[in-house]
Amino acid sequence: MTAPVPRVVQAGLRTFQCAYERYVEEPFRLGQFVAVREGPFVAAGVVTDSASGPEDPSRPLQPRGADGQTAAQVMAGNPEIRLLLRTRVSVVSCGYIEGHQARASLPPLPPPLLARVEPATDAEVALLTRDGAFLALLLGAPGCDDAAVAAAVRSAALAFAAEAREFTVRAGKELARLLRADPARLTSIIRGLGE
Amino acid sequence: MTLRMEQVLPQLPAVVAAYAAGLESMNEGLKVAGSALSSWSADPEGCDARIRAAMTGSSQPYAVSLLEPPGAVVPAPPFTPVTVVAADGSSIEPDRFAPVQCYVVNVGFAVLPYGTAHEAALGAHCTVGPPAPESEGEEDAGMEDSGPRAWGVNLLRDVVELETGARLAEESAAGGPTVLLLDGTLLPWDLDSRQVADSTRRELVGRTRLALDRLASCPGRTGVGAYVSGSRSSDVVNSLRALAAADGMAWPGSDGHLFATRLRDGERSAVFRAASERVRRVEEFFAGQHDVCFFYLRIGGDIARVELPRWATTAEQVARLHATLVDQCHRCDGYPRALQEAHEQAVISGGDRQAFSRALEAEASSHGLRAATNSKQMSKRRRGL
Repeated sequence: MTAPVPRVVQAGLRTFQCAYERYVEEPFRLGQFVAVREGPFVAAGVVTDSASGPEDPSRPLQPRGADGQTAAQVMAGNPEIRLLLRTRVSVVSCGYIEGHQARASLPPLPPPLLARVEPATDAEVALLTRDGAFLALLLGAPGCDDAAVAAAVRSAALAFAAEAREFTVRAGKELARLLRADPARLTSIIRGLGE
Repeated sequence: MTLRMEQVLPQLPAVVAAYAAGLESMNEGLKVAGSALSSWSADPEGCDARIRAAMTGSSQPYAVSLLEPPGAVVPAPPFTPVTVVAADGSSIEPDRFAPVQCYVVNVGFAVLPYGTAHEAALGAHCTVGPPAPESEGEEDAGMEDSGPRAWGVNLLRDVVELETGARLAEESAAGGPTVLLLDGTLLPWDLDSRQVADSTRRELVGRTRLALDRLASCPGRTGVGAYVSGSRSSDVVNSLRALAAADGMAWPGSDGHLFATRLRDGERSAVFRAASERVRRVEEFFAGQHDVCFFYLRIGGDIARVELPRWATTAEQVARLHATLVDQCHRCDGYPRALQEAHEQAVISGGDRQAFSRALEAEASSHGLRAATNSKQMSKRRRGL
């Protein structure tokens, strides 16, 4: 079975939201870099939140299942439920790639509605994050809290493989520069880098 | 002005008390009906003959026995893996104040596998009509059309529900045991409506028969049940009245009253065959293997009537249908889960209806068509002082 691909359901320059066709247990993770490759450029973003629940708010999910049953067993016994649930993921823009040029600034256009949202490749992540400039966008984005920023740095470090430590140090210095007037927030994010 | 509750409330107690008294007066009739049911079980053929004699000249619906003793009470068999298919529909009737008379039929469906290898599916399919005359393929189509009522939108909805269910059940049955559930009666009752144009009736009778034939030829003896919650049918009590010769006695008003005293939760009655000598009956169109049979099923406080075609009354099919219905109802507060989900897919909300109305007006306007001003409608919209 192929992995489900979410699509853009709400699009803005600073943030966008994507939704899976139904409920998925393992959507994009907090801090993961994603890419929308439909349109004149590759729009890139960082996952800041995800939520699952009923598509129809007038039909709240009831706590079904017998004692001892796992979620998977309850789902298998109630095959309609998964189809009535939806997983949504919130994304903050962190730049875009045009040709081979990466820009850590807001994209000129929002990603197209219903475009496929895919994981960014390691090469794309490295291109977007190498100089740490993406952090300014994240820190200023609504809904991008300290945990999401720290998770994004951890996630980006993975793209640098053997140079992950050097990247993390560079990112830490950039954070210190951007947050010199807000030491409490800086501390919170730096602590998150070690998780 | 809202409802004047100070006028309503004083009148309510008398209405409720009269109903309660009516129920109490039925008790003696229920006892006699129970005795008649026992007699019927002891001599099904002889009693069936007496019932058929009583039917002569009557337009009332009756029941005759099929394979089981009429007084039988059957507990729910063990549930076995099955794919449950359900279809239910909703519609927008033509609005006589709209610039173009137009209808929408939306049929929702659910395919829910329980221990089978099928994929779950929920969805809906809608049809907008009336179709252009040339697409009917009949030269006289529309000749006898006497307006939107003749299009039989409710009838069309019922037929499309059956067609959708039959198609999905056929696909599912190829992969394992399947039960198709429909909401309401098995046969579309508007087929005998005098308002429906004959050409429409002919077409829809044909489509209904095709769908039933398709179901009958499904592999693996597919189960079929048309579910009528809180049924008020009276076929069995009419037959019992004929057997008991209980003229003048307060008789149970419906089969539900009778079976509420006989069935416990999850139990079903015997399977009966519907019988009537009423002219222009819908059943006449499908006599033979598609004869309507039925049983009653108790789920909690509800006595539901479950209709099924005669070919679906083998012991194996009825047992699977019975077990499936009990399981489905326990999953959904007393109503089959698959029917509930098919209904949810079919529902046309108030917002959807308004959106359709606006789209129709815009399309009509692009052809220079506008709704005639209607004073009553305008006045209802304005409601100004």
